[in-house]
Amino acid sequence: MMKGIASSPGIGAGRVFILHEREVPLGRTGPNSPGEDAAPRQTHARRETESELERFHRGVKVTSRYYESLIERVRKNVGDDEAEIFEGHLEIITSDDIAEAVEEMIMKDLAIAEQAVVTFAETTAGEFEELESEYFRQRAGDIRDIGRRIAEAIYYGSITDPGALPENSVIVAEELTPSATARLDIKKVAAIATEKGGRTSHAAILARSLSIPCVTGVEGLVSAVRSSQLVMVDGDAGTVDTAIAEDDLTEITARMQKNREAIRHRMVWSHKHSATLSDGEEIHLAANVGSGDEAKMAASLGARGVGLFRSEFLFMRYSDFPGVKQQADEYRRVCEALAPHPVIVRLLDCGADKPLPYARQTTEDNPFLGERGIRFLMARDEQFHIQLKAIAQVAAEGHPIKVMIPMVISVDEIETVREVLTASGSDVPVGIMVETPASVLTIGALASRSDFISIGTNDLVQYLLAVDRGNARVASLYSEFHPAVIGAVDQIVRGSHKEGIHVGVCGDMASHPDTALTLLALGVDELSVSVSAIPDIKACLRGVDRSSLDALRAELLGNTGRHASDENRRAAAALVPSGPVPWEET
Amino acid sequence: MIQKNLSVLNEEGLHTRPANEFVRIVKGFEAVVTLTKGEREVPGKSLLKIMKLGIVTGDEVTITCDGSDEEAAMEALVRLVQPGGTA
Repeated sequence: MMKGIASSPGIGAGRVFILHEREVPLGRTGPNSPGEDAAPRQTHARRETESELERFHRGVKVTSRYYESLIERVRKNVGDDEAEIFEGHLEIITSDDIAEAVEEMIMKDLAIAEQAVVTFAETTAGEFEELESEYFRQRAGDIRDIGRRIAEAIYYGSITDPGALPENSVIVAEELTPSATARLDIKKVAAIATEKGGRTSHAAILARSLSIPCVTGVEGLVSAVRSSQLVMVDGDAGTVDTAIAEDDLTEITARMQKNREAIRHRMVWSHKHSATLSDGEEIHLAANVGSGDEAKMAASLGARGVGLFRSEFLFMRYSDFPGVKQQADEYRRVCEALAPHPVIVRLLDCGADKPLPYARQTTEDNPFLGERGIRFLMARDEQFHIQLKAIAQVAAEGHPIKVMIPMVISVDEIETVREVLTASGSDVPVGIMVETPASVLTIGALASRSDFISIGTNDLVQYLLAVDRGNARVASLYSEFHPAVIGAVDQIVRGSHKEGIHVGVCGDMASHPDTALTLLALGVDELSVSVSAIPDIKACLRGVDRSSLDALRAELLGNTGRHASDENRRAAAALVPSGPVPWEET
Repeated sequence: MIQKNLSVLNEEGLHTRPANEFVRIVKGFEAVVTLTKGEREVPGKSLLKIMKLGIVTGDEVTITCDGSDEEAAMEALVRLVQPGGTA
C-alpha cells in the first residue's frame, strides 16, 4: 500500500497505464541489445552501418503508422483542421530531408540511428528558432517532438500513445501536464495516480471535475508498478494499493458499483433541489467547467450557468492556436448545455503553472509575476482578436455569453478588451477576475467599468500572502481564512456593491462548504464551483440561514489575533451542517 | 520553364497546413517546382525546407515550374497562395 495525497474522491481499480515520455538512451551497448546496463556509446562500428540504416528505416515506418492512426483519431475527435497539421508532420517524417541527413550521419559519422535523428531534429529546431515569425519559431517544438517519436520508435520498436488506452486504465505518471491530461481519453480512465503534484495541481482539478478518483504525491510510484499491473486507487484515503489479486477484483468491482450508485443518487438529488438557504433566500450557484462535456454534467447536477469556462483547456486540446470556428463551436456547446443560464468565458489564461506547449513562451525568472493571464493575449494581437471574435459571434447568435479578463491590474486592460469588442460592433458583457492585490486596492475604479466581478481565490490568496501553494516548505502558511483574505473579500464586495455590481467567486474557496459559507457571510452574490462539488455545496446551503451567516461575518471581521486563521476556520466549520448527506437518507 | 514573382496573400501564409497543401500540389504534377524567398531557393516538394523559409502573408516569393505540365502546376500553386486572385 502506497500513501499519497487524496486529490479526488472515489475508488478506482484497473490496470496500470504508465504515461511518460519514454527515455531513449542516446547511445547503446551493442547492436540490438537495448536495455542493458553498460556505458552507452554514441557511435557504431563500421560493420554495423547497414543494420543502423535498417533500424532507422524501420523506425520511420513505425512512426508513420502511428501518425496515420493519430490523424484519423484527431479528425474524429477534434476536427479536420487539426488533423491536417498532423498530416504535415507525417509528410515531414516520410520526407527525403530527414532520410538524407540522417543516413549521412549514420554513414559518415558512424552515429547510431537514435542519435542521428535527435541531432537532426535539434539542428532543424534551432533553424526554426532563428526565424522572424513567431509562428515559425514555435514549430521548433513540433520538430523536436517528431525527432523524439522517431527515436522512440527506433529504440523500442513502438510508440506509446496516451490516446490508445485500454478500458479501465489507471493512469500512472510522474507528473501529468495539463496538455497531456487534455489528450487523455477520459472515458477509459478508472483512476489517476501521480508522483508529483497535490490537490491543486491541474491533474487533480481536472480529475475532480470529471469525478475520476485521483491520488497525487505518491513518492516512488512509477518505479514501484509495472504496466498492466492491477492496482486500486482510493481517492478518499489517498492510497494506491499495488497488491491487488485477480480474486479481489470481484469485491472491488462491487464497491465501485456501489460507489457509482451513490453518485447517481447524488446527481438525482442535486438536480431536484435548488441552492436555497433554509430561510428561503436563493443563492446563485454556477459551475466551473473546461469543456462542453463537463458543461453537460454541470447541467445534470442543476448548475445555474457557468461562472468560469477555462478556455485554456480548449487551447490545450490543439497543437496550434484554434481558430474562430473551433473556439465558437466549443463556446456554443457550453451555452447550449446550460441554456438559458449565462456562461462566463475566461479569456485564455496560460503561462506560469499552465504553459501552452505551442506558445513557446520564453523562460522567465518569476513566471507567476510574468506573462500570464491577460498579459499573454495582449502581447499576441492576432490571438486576442480571434478569441474575442469567437465569443462575439456566439453572443450574436443570441446566447447569454460573457467575457472575463484574468489577472487584471488596471483599468487599461478592461478598456482594451472593450475597444476590441466595440470595434467589431459587439456589446458582450465584460467582467474581471479579481486575483491581484492591485485589483483589490482599486476595486471601485475597476467595478465601475465592469459588468461583473469574480474573485479568483487561488491566485488572490497566493499573491496576498506571498505563498506558493505548490511549495511544500511554505504551503502550511497558505490559508484561505487569513485575516488578509477575509479583509480583501470584504473590501471587494463592498467596493463592487457601491457601484451596483454583483460579485461572484470562481476560485477553489467556493467549492468547499466552510469557505463557501465564509464567502456568503461576507456578502458574495454568486458561487461558481467545480462540477463535482455542486451537490455538497447545495446540501450545505440548505442547512444554513442568513442570520447565522451575519453572525459569522461579525466574527470573521473581528478576529485579528495570533490565531485568527484557525479561529475563522473553526467558526465557519461550526456552521457546516453535520449528519448524513441528504441523498443517503431514506 | 516558367517563373512568376508574386505576393503570398492567403490568410496563413505558408504555415504547416497550407505549406503541406503546396507540397501535395507539387507532387501531383510532373514539373519540377522551386520556391524562392529572398536569396534562398528550395525544392517545392520539401515541406521542411519550405517551412524553414518562414513565409508569412505579404511575403514576396518566386515560383518556378519546369516540365510538361508546368502551366497547370503554376496555376494551381498561384490559386493556393492568392486565393482571391492577384491583388
